[in-house]
Amino acid sequence: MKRIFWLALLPLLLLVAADVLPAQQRDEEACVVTVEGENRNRTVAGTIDQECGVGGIVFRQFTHSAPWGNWGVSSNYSTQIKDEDQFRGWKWKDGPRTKLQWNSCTTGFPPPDRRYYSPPDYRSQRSDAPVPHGTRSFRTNVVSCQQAYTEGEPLSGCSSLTGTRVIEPENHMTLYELDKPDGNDLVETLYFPGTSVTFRNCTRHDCPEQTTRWVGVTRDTSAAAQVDAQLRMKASANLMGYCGEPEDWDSN
Amino acid sequence: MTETKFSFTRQLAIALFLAAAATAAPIEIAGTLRDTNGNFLSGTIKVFQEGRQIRVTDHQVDATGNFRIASDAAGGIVVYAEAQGHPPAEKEIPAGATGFVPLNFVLPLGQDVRGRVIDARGKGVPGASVRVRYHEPGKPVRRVSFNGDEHTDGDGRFLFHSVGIQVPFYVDVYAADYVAASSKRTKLAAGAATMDDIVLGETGASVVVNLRDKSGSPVSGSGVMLFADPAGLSSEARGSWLHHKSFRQRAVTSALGNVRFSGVPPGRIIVRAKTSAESVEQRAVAVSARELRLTLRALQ
Repeated sequence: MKRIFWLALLPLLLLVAADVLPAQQRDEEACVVTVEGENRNRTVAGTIDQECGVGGIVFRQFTHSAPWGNWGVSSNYSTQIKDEDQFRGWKWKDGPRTKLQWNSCTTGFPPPDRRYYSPPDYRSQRSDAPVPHGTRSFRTNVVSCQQAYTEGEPLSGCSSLTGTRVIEPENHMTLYELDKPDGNDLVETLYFPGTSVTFRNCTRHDCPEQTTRWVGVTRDTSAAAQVDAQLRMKASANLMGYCGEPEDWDSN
Repeated sequence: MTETKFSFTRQLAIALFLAAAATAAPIEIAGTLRDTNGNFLSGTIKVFQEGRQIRVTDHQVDATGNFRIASDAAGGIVVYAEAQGHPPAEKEIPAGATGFVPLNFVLPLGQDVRGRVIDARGKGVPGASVRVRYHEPGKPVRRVSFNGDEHTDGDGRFLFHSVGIQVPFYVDVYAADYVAASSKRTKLAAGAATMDDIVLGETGASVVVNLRDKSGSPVSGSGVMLFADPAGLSSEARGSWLHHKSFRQRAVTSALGNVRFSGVPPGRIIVRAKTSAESVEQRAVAVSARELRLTLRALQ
C-alpha cells in the first residue's frame, strides 16, 4: 500500500524536481556544445514563382525587384529565418556587399537566359560555396564552482566529452524566399539523412571541431520546384564560465 | 562452427540489449504550450538528451497546444519550447527520472529590440558578434541557445527578434581586438524598442607566439591555446556565450611557426602548445592594446 502511495506521488516529485533544479548557484562552469548545419552545391530549377506574385511581373519589378530573391532557411539547427546568406544564391544584385540571390520567378523568366540563369548552360541556377544555415548551443557537464571547491567535485569541463556522439536523427531545411514587408514565401522543404559526429581529443577547455561528410537530399515537398543541395553538420565544444585553477598558476 | 558463432553473436546482442535496457530511463513528457494570457500556442518542443549520446529531437505541438513525447532520461533531459513571436523557455528533467512527467510551458510575449555596440570613444563597432543570454537572477544560464550570433552593421547597430518582455537577459558581445563583454542585465518593458548602448571599453592585447623545436626550427601545423585569466578571477564575463572567444583562444601555427591572438584580456595568460611529442607552455602578462611576443621551445 505504501509503495503504491509513493508511486502515485512520483510524477509530482519529478515535477517539483524539474522546476527546482535550475535554482542553484550562479558561479559555475559548463561545456557548451555548438552544432551547426552547412549547405553547399545548391541548384535551383523547375517551377519557381515566389517572386512573380500578385500584380504581375512588371509591378513586382518595381516593388520587389522581381525576379530576384534572397532565400532563408528554417531548419533543425535553427528556426530563425535570417536575411543573410542561409541558402546563398549566385547573383549579385546591388554589389558585393549584399546577399547573393536567386531568380525566383522561373515561370516569368524562363531558361535559357544568360541574365537569369548561371553558367555554364544558363538553364538552371547553381551556387557551390558552403554556407552555414543554422547554429545552436547546448550547455552540458554543468558544475557549480562552489561544489567543486568545497566538495572536490572534478572540474572536467569538456574533457569527459571525448567519445560522446552528437546525433541529429534527421536533417531538414525549409526554404523561403524572403519578402519585406509582406512576409516570406515558402519554396519547399528538403529532407536529408541523419548525421552524427563523435568528439575526440577533448580537453577541459574544448573539443576540436568534428565534421560529417556531405549528405544529399532524400525527399522534398514540391514536385514543381527542383531544388537540390548537400548538407553537413559541424560540432565543437568550448568551456563556458570558469572556476579557475589558482593552484596551477601559483605553483609556478 | 557457424552455429557457435551465431549463438555467440546472438548472446552478445541480447546482453547488449539487456545492458541498454537496464540503463535506460523511459519517460513520458506531456503538457501544453501557452502564452501568458492562457492562449494555446503553435510551436515546437525540442528534447535534448544528455549522456554518451547527445541527441536532439523535434516535436510539433498539436493544434490545441498539447504535446506528448516518449524519451529516455538516463543522462538527463532538457526540454525546450519555442513559438514564433515569443522568447523560448526550457525545463530540466534530472538524470534517471522515469514515468510520466507533466510539463506546462507559458511563454511571455516577445518584441523586437534594437541596440548598438560602441567603443570607448562612442563610435559604433561594426561586425561584432552579439547574442542574447537569458539569465534570471540567482539561476544558472539557460542551457540552450538557438540561432547563433547576430552581427552589428557598419554603425555598430543590431536587431534581435522576439526578445521576452519582462524577462531578464544580457547581450554578450565579442569583436576582434576587444575583450569579450556583456551588457548590463536588461528587462524590456512592453513597447520598449531599444536598449542602452553596450560599450566595448577594453581593447585587448595582441599575443604572437612562435613555436620552435629543440633545434630552433619553426614548428608548423601545431595547435596553440591561449588561456587568459587562468585563475578565473574575472567572474563578470563568466556566463557569456562568447567568453571563450577572448579568454580561451586556439590557433594553428603557420609555416613559420607563428600564431597571433587578438583581443586578449589584459593580465595573466598561459600559452600552451602541443607538438606530436610533448606539451609546452609559457606564462606571461598581457597589457591592454600592446603586442606581446613569446617563443615556445619544445624540449624534444
